[in-house]
Amino acid sequence: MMGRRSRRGVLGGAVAAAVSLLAVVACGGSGGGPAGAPGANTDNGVLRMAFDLSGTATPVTFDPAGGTAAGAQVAWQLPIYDSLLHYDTSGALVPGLATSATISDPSTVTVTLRSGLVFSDGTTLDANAVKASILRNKAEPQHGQLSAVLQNVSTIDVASPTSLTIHLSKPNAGAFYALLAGPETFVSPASADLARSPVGAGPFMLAQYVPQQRMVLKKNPRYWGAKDIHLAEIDIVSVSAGPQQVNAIKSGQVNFSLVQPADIPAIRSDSSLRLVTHTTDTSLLWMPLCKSEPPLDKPLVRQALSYAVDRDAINQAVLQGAGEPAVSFWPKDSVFYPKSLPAKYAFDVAKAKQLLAQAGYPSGFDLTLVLLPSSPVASQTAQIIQSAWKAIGVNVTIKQSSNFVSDLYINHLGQTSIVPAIGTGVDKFKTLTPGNVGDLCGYENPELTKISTQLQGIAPNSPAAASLWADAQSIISRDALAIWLDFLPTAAAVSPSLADLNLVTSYLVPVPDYHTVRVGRQ
Amino acid sequence: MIRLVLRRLLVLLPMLFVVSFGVFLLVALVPGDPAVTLAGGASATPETIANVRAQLRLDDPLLAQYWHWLAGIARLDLGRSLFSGIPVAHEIAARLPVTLSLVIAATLVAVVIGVPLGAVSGLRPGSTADASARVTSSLGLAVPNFWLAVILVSLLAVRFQVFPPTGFTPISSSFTGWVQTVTLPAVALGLAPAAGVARQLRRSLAEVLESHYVRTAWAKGAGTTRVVVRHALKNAAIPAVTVLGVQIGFMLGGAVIIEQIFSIPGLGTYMLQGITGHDLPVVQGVTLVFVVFQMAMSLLVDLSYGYLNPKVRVA
Repeated sequence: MMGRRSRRGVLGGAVAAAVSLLAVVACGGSGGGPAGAPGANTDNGVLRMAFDLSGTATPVTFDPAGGTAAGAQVAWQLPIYDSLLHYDTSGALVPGLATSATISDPSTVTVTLRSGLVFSDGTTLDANAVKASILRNKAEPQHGQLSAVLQNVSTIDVASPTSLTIHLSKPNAGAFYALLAGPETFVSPASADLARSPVGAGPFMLAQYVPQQRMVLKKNPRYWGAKDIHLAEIDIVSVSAGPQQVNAIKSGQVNFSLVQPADIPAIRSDSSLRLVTHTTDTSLLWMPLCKSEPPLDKPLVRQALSYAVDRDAINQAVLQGAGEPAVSFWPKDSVFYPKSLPAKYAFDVAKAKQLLAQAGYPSGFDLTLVLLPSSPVASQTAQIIQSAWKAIGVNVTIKQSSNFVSDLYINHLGQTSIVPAIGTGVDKFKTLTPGNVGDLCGYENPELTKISTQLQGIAPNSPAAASLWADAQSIISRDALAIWLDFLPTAAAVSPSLADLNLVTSYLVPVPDYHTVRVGRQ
Repeated sequence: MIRLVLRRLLVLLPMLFVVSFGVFLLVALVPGDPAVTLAGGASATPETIANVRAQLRLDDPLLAQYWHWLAGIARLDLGRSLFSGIPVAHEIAARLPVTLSLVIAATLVAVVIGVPLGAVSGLRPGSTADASARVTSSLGLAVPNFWLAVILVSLLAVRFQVFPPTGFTPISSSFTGWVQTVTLPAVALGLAPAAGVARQLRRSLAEVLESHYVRTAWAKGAGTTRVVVRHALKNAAIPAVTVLGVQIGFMLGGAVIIEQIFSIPGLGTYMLQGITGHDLPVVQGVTLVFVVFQMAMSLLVDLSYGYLNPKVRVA
């Protein structure tokens, strides 16, 4: 198990000291430099990676201003373009293109770039180039996930070739996460055809792209940390998610592949492969509840249901023991993890029955659970929940829906569901506060809404934020506003020829840490 | 022959119009709102959903939407994917050769295995060879292609590493690479059609061999090869060609699963992405291509009758 740490926690580690200094210490040349690798490993190996290039990761264009910037595209965007800050193998933010970033208030961040940065074509990357790229991307209204963040950028002041200050039009400290370590990309002003020949300042350059099939990235010798990149090439082979990934690595077609939880045993049982797992706060299996209508409008009922869930059993049966039972929407490694809550809602059928009786439902009731059929993990978990709740008299009807969002959140064809993900940072509240489709049955808890608004306006990991997160989690737990199940593992199968292979999650997408991995002689 | 082609085409045109309306209705009336997904799913606000609906013209009357879609088709514009923004026609043009090359390879498998099996069986009904061929073809029909694909990958790709387990190399890039990547999916896709062809050919060949003109040929002292290939097989082939034509259409449908198992970037994978993502333009576009392909196959089968049996041309 690798260093597991939530992304928000990770950002927090870097932006600690809140409204004061974001202490990302400049460290010369090494951004999360490699741990020692066996002598048999070369600096010229090829990371052959199975990755689905035919789905949402399809490079419609390599121009970051023209693409949809779907999350999965980060897997090839970051090696080509890099980011201001990196996540290292321990989950902390370390310098990337920038040596430091200081959040002076929730609307202002000052970035200090490395000196002497150049794009892969030799063009200088300075503060003006960063400003030009951000404004260029902002001008494209369809810039996918980052659109909202970019539209919030009001002005950018360049103080020197290595220093710039970004101002937001309204306080949203969480947005800095995307700007500093997300897929916000800087392009060479000298590039003529970014759509097909991207020129960035990342550790790799696009060498070949066969649509839907293969992408070859070669090492960029002009990269600021080139001496610490131990790969000559990343060869991305398009493989659909599922057992195909296992076949690809077992046959030797690739030496790295993400695998689904259901395929973990197949990797564990193969002594020639290594399993690497990683957990993030956004990969959370949880149950939204229709809290405005009977019977789930009663807190006692919701608490009873939460007590009747065996999270360890779900982890073992569905997640192959590689997940983490959840007591809130932050995992154990997060600075926001509520240490006082673990004992709450431990599996207790007797307690659940007692609470149901107190709520006026001694014989239980019927419930419909709307399920997204494309999530095997959610489907398997639903069956376990169905069985567990039957023991307390709650009869669950599972309704598979290919129109999940409409059926559950708009048409209210069920009272609950099992959802395999939750938003980043304050976006987590979108499913618990009014104004969004995801607020099932239009429930509002004024205390929670107030906390959500307050969190929007302060630095993500300030002491004030930590205090507000603690309050929010207490309220959610007290009233059982949602049922947290387990954090899903991100798992990867790794060939023994790879050393120092660690997973980092960059903007929702788990990828190998290109700054540490080495490949043995092939 | 030209008149036959024209006659068939004239029948196909109105049929195509009706089918296009069916495809549009089928997809447009499926419950669910793509605007919700596109606006951000559970994170969407009612305002953003309304904006997306307006952009996609989803609030227009159904007939207006159909007319808009049909006008697009006339310009070879099948709309854009709701998620990637790529024109559907562009994507279909890139993926169709992949799927067609897979279907052609699978057809080759069906013919190369099915015809000899059927011929051997039909020539000696009741013999040991016939019994073996019938058992083999029964197995071929019984085994689901996705199961066979998984077994082939486990054995020949993962265990013995003879073929790659996933991926696709276009024939234009490397013939050897194409053969390597297409062999397993083609066998998985083509084995059931091979069994169908073999069974049909066995039955019709056995019947034809009992006919008077074949007896006459034997009586005149013609050799086995001449009697079987020149006289019997050509007539016995008509039902087998019909079966093969139908099977090729089914193979296109089967490619949806097989392409997924082998991570082949063809129409099947695209269709599956469209279905799971509720990407209506993609589903409509690919379905239309599938239907047109099936109609084209029917036309080809009809025309092959004319070649195999001159009486059809006259009729």
